[in-house]
Amino acid sequence: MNQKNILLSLLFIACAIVGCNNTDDMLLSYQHTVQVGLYSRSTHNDTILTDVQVYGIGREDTLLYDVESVTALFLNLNMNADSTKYVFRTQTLQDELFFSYSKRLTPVSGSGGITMELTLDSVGHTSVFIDSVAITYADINYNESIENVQIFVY
Amino acid sequence: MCKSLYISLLALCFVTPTIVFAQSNTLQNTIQSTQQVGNTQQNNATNSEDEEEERHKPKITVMKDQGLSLGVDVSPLIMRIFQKENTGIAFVGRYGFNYKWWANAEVGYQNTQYSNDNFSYKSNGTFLKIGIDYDLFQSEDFPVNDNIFVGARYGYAWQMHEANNFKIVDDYWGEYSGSVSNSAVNSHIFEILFGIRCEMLRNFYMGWTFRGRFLVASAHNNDLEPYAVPGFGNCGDTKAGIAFTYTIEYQIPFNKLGKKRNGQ
Repeated sequence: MNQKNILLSLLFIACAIVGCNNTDDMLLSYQHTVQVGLYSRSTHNDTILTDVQVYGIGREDTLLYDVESVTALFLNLNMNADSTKYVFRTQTLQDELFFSYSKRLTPVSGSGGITMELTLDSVGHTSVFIDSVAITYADINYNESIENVQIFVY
Repeated sequence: MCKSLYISLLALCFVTPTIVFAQSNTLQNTIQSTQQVGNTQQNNATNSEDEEEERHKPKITVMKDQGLSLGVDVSPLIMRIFQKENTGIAFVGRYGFNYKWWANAEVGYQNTQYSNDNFSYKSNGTFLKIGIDYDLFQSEDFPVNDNIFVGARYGYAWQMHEANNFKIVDDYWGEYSGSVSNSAVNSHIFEILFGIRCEMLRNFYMGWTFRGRFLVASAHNNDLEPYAVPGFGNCGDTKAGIAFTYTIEYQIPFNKLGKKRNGQ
């Protein structure tokens, strides 16, 4: 049994080393975006906003979205601050959406990088065409793709 | 991760036949010895005094050396070849308080220094693990001190860590960079394990364990999650992992413990 175990032990070490050293299947992407879904206030089904422009307060010079129609948005949160405010503008109407959040630096295993994971504390809005908002999943984590906020529009 | 799991399962597949092999040998030997015992009893049937004496004599069916084992886990030294950012070592101790049950303690140290263009990290820490193992290898006719263990560990790790610099790039808001000063991290670890331990020379043992590890909790004072936790390894965004240990031990034998047949 001893000889067999020596061989098996060596084999096991070799397998474990190869297995632990493998990082090919770990992709590094930096995700600090809130996933926002648009919903109808009356039916609670997903809905479409047309001719939408979205930009962040402080980055008025650069539009994050300038699209004909949209049902969901990915809004980057400013990591240099604890809150981020966005402006939603349609052809005739304008609303603001603001997020406050807490942050934590998280090294990404296998890739040697670092990312920022966030937790939404609150979401506020003005009420021109936005009726209400709801946080459905507060955590914004690396490699997760889950809708965080629902926006109900008139 | 999937590949790691596959390779680990492959290793287990190789291990399983060994156990079956050992158990089937044991079964064969048991059958043979049962026949031998039957023959012996038949031959001795004429001698009633000897038979009576034999009946009252307690029979030890499982005998293993029991005592205190002290050793070193060399797996961190092996892993250093492939994960150059980690340096560490661990010492193990185990005490057989029963012919099946072993109490275990492990204490170790891990230093992590990692640096690239976007992230520079440093950590120093120690860990202590305590746990219990159950020896599955109980053979009446295979008189060796080897063990096949299943067990569990609870671990506590303490470390000081810092990030000298980090940089995260965001497409819209731009770059976020800075540093995190030195601070303490306290972590709690839980492990389940399977392993083999063999007596290579008299009282000298070698063994490995294959472990599933869970980072139960990790408390820290700043916004930096630990890149590596002593006794757990590199973690980052993952709270579970697999690991192996490879130990070399010396056992101070106290006595032999075993299971008595016939309840005597």
